[in-house]
Amino acid sequence: MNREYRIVATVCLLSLSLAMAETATAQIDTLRVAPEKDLEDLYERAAASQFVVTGTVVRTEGIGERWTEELNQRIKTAQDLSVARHGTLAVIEVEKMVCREADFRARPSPISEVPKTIYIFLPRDEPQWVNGQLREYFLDGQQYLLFLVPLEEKIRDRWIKIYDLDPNRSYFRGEQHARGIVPLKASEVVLNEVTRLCEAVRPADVAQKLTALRKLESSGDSVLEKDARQAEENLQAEKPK
Amino acid sequence: MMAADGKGVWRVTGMGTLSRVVPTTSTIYVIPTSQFYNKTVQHEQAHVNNWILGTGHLFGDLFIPTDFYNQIRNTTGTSQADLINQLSAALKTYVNAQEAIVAQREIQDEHLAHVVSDPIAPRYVYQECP
Repeated sequence: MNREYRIVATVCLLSLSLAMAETATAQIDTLRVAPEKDLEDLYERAAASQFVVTGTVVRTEGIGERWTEELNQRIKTAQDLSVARHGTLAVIEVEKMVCREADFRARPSPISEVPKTIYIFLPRDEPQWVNGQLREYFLDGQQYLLFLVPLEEKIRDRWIKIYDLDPNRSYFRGEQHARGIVPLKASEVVLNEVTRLCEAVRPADVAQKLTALRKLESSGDSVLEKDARQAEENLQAEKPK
Repeated sequence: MMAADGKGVWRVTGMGTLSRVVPTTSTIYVIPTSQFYNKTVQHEQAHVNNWILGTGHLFGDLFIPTDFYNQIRNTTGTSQADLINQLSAALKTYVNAQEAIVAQREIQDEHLAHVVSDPIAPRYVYQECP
């Protein structure tokens, strides 16, 4: 007599019980960051980023929860595969380094090497809005200007425990989430302006940084004038007396 | 479903209860007396509708049980545990691949929901659809 084993696997798709707190807010703003917002606070955003780079999304991967015995039991009990959590990993090849955090410092600070590949993981059950900011989104093959901050260590450890993520990789988020992910196709001007600001602060010597920033302040560039002044003030304040 | 054949080889014998189940309603946390209640309901319902099976629905071509079943129907195992392990791995690969496609369509999903909800009064100060 054949012993049959029943695979209980109900493909119940994703919880669409959407939290209103998230979606109502999503409707109050536009989905994509308005181009004029992309040009605002360039100094603040660049200086708050570990790296500003350009890169292309080479692929997005679906990443599931680590398949543990506990998960196996959960699925069997619920007879529902959707109890297993999932997320999306955006794999981005870096093309050009535009800025490093260290460029904005008056005192010598350790310069981190820009990774060749950037990994940004977005769990599906994370709200559309994170800390008041629309979260990141990516399209395969699209080129972006990326303001990047490292994923908070506590969150990184938690996600690596839950999801099938490689613990040897460095994971990032966008600075202010979606605001840190600027599609270059639509906003080439943002890249040009950030590049000018970053080139001004690139020299290791503080005096050279300040000279270049003053030039920007008086260049007639209405976008960079304020940012350059702010960068100069902060460098002056930080400069060793 | 799975069973051992006469030679002790474990084989997949059928789909069992494998099925595609989608929610038909959404949970709304806006109070029903809010002027934005209906707008919100319609917006979320558009998301739910995008999961209906079949063409014309954004995610209607994803998580199709027969697609997965066709991928694993000829899998064999040396034991029940071996076959279960192989099927679990295949399932994980399948679901992850489908999830990646879902992620690529999320912007469109949100846009389609806004197309439905944005024209409904009262309009928000900022809307995706003018």
